[in-house]
Amino acid sequence: MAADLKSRWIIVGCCWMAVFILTLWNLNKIDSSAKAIEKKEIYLMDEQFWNYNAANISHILKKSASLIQEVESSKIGLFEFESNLRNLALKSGLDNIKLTTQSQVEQDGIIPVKISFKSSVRHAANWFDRLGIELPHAQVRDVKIESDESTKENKFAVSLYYRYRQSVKEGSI
Amino acid sequence: MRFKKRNTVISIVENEMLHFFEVGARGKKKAVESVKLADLLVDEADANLIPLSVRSRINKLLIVPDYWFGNLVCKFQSMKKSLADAFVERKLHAQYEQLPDVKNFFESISFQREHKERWLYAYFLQDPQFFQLYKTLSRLGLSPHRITSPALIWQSKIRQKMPDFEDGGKCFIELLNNIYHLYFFFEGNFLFSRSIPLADLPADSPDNLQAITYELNQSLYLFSQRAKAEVNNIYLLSSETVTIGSLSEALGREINDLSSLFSEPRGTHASNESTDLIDGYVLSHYFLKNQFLFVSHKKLKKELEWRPVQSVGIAIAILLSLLLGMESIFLHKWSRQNQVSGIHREGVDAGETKRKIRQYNEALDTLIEDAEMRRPEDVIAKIARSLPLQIRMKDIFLKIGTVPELEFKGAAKVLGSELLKGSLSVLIANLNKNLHPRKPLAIPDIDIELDKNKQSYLIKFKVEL
Repeated sequence: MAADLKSRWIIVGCCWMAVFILTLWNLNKIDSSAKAIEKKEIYLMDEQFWNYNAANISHILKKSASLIQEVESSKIGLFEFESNLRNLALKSGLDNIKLTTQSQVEQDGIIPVKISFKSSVRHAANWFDRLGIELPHAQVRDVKIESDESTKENKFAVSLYYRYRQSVKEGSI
Repeated sequence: MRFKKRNTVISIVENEMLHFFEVGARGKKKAVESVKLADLLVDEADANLIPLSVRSRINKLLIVPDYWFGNLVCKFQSMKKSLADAFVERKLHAQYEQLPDVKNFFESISFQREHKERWLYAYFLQDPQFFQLYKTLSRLGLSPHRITSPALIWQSKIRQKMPDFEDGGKCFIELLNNIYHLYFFFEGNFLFSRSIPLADLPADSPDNLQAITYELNQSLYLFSQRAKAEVNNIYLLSSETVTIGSLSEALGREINDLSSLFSEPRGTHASNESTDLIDGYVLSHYFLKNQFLFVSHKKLKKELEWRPVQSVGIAIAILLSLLLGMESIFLHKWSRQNQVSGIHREGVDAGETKRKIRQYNEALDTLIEDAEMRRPEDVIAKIARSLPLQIRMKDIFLKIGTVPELEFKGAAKVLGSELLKGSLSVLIANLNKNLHPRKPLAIPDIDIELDKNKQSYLIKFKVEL
């Protein structure tokens, strides 16, 4: 008798538990659906933005990509960079060009490079200007200028970061 | 309206037999099986005694002879059911010490008598045969849900039809199968009943009339002893062949004929053809209204009281589950459609777009960071533009990074501090104007030293750009 009453209460409890679980499941589903709709809307907005600004975005991506040189090997990239840096200095009329690479302090995608030269401020400014245009993956960190009053010469010591990204794993080189 | 429940039976104790009946529409009863009562009144009663067709069924009702029930009437002021039940339980325990189960089978009704006195009427099962039978039936899985007697069913029936039923003492006579059944009620409560079998002669034969008159007078005397009151009215509930006039004349009292009030058709028996106390209309009354006095085992009663609540609870929960289930199916399909349509219909991978947007944001950040950096050629040019004629640049250290810094060393070829101050003021003003340092440069920020050899002043300062 009492067992029957108890078992019926258990059935009632189970039925209402099912109602409770279904309610929770539905609420969860509504919540996840709302999130999916929101996600979809964001996605569509992104898509729209992407389509309307495709040209600008492409330009920005390209410009941003130029700040970091894509190389197959960091060493080859560095040689190329040093060569370009030297050529640019020569083209800009700088004298006594000295290049020092601190490859031992190489960080992830960055190699510090030092260049020193003698030049007038004008020539140096021209070099800095061309450096920004022709070698955008060179980032100037600091510049030291020493002016000699007697010889009227300016000694420049420039610390740079060579920024690169390795596209393929470095092999034997 | 059909109330036939094939999995339920009712059981009736009559003539030393226990009959099992299936009850159909309109109270038609169909005998299923019968068992000798004596066989069930032993502790080791075998399960095989119960017919196979009855074993798996629910025993909804057990109708026992009236004399298996006892009753008591006493003053009781409280209207609280729990107090009344505790009171009756104590009384029964004291009165029936040898029947410990009697406390499980009683009911009490509170009623008001004249002078607004509150009284309690309790009816209970008192016959040891009942407890033995109940024990056996329970053991065999046929414990009856409700237990009643013909008089208790009649009480409810008469109460419905007779407005003055609760006024004083009343006697009801029913003639069935050549047996007179006498029911005595006081103030609407059953007191006792008697069955008087007649000789095998017509009911209104002088011998039978004499017998019933004698027995009736005896019963009326018993009533007056028990109720301390007289029977006000005598009624004939059903008449077969007896003429009310001759019975009234023999008794010397007026007898009212109520047979028209209870003129429902008699039960049609499919088998066991007999007209008995528990006839069709009583059963139909039971099944249609379920309103009659009965006793249930206390625990079972609790179960029966809660059953409608539980049934409604289960029904509502199932209905809600169905609705919520349908909602779940709909939501499931709807959410799938949302997730699928947004991404696959366009033929574009959302992850790819996300990656592209992330790349774009990173690119934008890099460009902004790069653009915000001081360009050395600009800084050098601005310094050169800021120098007055009297001041020459000696050493410059320009740090470019998140916090750009400028360390300047120069020489001022001026005569006198006033001129030096003037030159420095020009330098400071020009630098602040051209370079916009974080904190504007001021004269105290400049370190000045006299270079005696060259007759000039060495100036030095550091500024955050």
